[in-house]
Amino acid sequence: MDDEAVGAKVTRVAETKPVKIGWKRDLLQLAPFLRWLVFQRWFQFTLIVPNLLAFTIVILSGIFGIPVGAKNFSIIFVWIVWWALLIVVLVPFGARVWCAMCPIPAFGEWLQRKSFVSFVSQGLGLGKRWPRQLRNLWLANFGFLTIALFSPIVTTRPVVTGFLLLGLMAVAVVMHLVFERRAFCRYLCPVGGFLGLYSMAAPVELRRIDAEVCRQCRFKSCYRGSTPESLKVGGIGGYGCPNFEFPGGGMERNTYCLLCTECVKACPYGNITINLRPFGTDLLVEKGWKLDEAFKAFIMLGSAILYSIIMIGPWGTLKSWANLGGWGFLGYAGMFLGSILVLAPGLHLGMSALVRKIAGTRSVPLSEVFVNTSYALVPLGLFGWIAFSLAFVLPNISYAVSVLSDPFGWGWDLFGTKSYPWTPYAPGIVPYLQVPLLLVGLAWSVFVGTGILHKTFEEAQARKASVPLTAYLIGGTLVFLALYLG
Amino acid sequence: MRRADVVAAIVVFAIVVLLPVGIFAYQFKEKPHPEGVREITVIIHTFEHGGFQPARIVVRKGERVRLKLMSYDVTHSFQLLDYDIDTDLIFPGQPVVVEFVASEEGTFPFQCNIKCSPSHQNMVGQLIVEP
Amino acid sequence: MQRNRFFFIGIAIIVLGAAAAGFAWVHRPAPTEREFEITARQFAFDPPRITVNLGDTVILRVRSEDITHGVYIDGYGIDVKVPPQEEAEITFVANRPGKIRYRCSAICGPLHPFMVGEIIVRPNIPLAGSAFLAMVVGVVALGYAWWRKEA
Repeated sequence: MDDEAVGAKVTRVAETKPVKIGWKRDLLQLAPFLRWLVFQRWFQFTLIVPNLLAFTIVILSGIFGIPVGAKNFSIIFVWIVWWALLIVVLVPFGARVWCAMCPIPAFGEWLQRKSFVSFVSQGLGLGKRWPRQLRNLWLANFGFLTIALFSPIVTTRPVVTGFLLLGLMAVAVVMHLVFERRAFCRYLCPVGGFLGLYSMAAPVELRRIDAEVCRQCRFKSCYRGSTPESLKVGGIGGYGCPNFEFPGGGMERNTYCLLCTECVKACPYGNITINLRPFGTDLLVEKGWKLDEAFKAFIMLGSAILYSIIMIGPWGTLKSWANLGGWGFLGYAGMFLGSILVLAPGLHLGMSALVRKIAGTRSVPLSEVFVNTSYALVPLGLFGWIAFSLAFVLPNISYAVSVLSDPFGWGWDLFGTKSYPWTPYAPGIVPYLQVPLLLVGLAWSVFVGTGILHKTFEEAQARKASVPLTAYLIGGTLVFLALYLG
Repeated sequence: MRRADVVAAIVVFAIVVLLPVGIFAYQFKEKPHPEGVREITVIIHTFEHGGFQPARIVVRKGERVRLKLMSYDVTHSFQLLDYDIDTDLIFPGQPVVVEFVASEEGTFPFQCNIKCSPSHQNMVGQLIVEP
Repeated sequence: MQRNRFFFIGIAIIVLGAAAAGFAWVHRPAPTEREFEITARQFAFDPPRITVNLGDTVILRVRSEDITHGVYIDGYGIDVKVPPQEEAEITFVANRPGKIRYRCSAICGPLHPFMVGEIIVRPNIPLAGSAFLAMVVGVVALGYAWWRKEA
């Protein structure tokens, strides 16, 4: 097929009613307005702008505002409002759409592209390749663990939050000028790593439409970016995937897709779209199962449990230790890192060995069972995080009302809501919201787990193996229940 | 640069330059107040973190003084007994305003009257009324 | 016949569980009045967790060891400030089983939002019930997954 013929084929595809591939629906056909938006060069910029505005106020209030977290815009709007939105809405329903609107890499990317909005082929910066040994999530895991370890400090001190975000932005600018694309987002960002993991659960995905068109395509603009030749055929001009993905080459998981929609704009054939799909589809894509992501799953599940003990538990000594309380901090750090890096993987390894033993086969290596089954922890981890977040978001989000009127704690009253009192919402009801969430997470994890086992073992073996895995997942749920209700 | 980029550049400039400048200008500009009223903001930390700021308040005799008392960490209070001032608890984020006429010349101590840290007893300051 | 066996084991567990719960409920202790001395300090209450029985009248005598704190009891609409050197007395009837969290209501430093105490009201039906439900949900989900693979 020549270029025109390929294009004609896609046009034909696009003209028919919404494409239905299995359970998938082409969201851009269902919502023409969204389609129009996605095809505007200024689309991502307008997503970033409101967040850049909030971010600027966060940094100013963090550094110059009142040092009382509860009365400072930075703490309330980052760790309560943003966090709640992220974990309850954006990630479970929108995959990594936050990454498309995140202001942290914005300046770096604008500099790198020498453009805010339009597509310019000549950029700025050294454009070095990211070292091969670091092309994984280990740095991001390490970064997340470091911030997570200090989170009792970070989430309660405005000045720390302010400088942390400013620092991340500075690192992102440097990274964009030294390395190619958004290397920061893919390999370094502490948030991006877990967004990637949990975005696999989301009911949206950016994918190619017709694999045949991509096979015939000689531009690969979704990876390389638009060229004058590709623009002659089609596309409105877009950059190659900033996150090193290759949508046309068969990207099958959301994990590293930032939903920035550059590839949609770059594709000369309009062959890339955003689909609605069943929740959790990507968790069963074998191709991506890797140890660095598996560890991300332990880190997330482990930290949700640990925070439930340390932050919202009643034990004061632990809190003092975590609050940089002298030598006790070392005890806390040992407990935190030990649980996440040794205890959780150790437990999982034990479970994997049991699964393998009960399945009764030696043909599948233990390491493979270990990595594969860790993806079964993703739904439970996500819902565990939502349940944990409710326990501090609902009691404290009322601060947002007063902070909105007095972001810096300087006594302003912009909207007349400054004196809105601290009002815990749904007090006493939170546990009854947490239980159904955890149960949904459990059921979903069991489904995913059995699916994974069926891809790992043969039919009969998988069935036997699913019993210990289910018991393990129930055990994890019981830990959460004991912490929230017991 | 195309027009969209120019607009975008203006928006970004407004957010990262004009907004902070505006915020600081709004906060630190001279606020008009009624003739003869001295408005003074007193920021209160625990003694370990600085105590009363300013700890030395100087006014002129006969002036009407308005003190805006703001806690920047925990619960405090403010006592200026020579002028019959003894506030309720001052919670962080809820400024308390007291007003009085500096009718007597001299130096008057003020203090925090609610235990706010181990060194609470050092939470003192002075009001100096000059002739 | 494996399926039948599972079914009967399931029924037996449910019946036994219900019987145990019924027994515990019938023999639950009579409500009484209970008094607790609680010390508040940055950033915890001591003792961290107290246990009462359903229907008990609970009296909390709260003193602060350092600075001003408060006690807000989730779901009971109680909010009392606790300045140092004063004792706050809080009385309420524990009329719902399960865990009650109470939290500091006067900003007392950085970790103030995480200053939480717990009152366990026995019998802890929500915990037992949800734990039981978790096992049921886990097993049913597994059964459903198996059934779907077969179908």
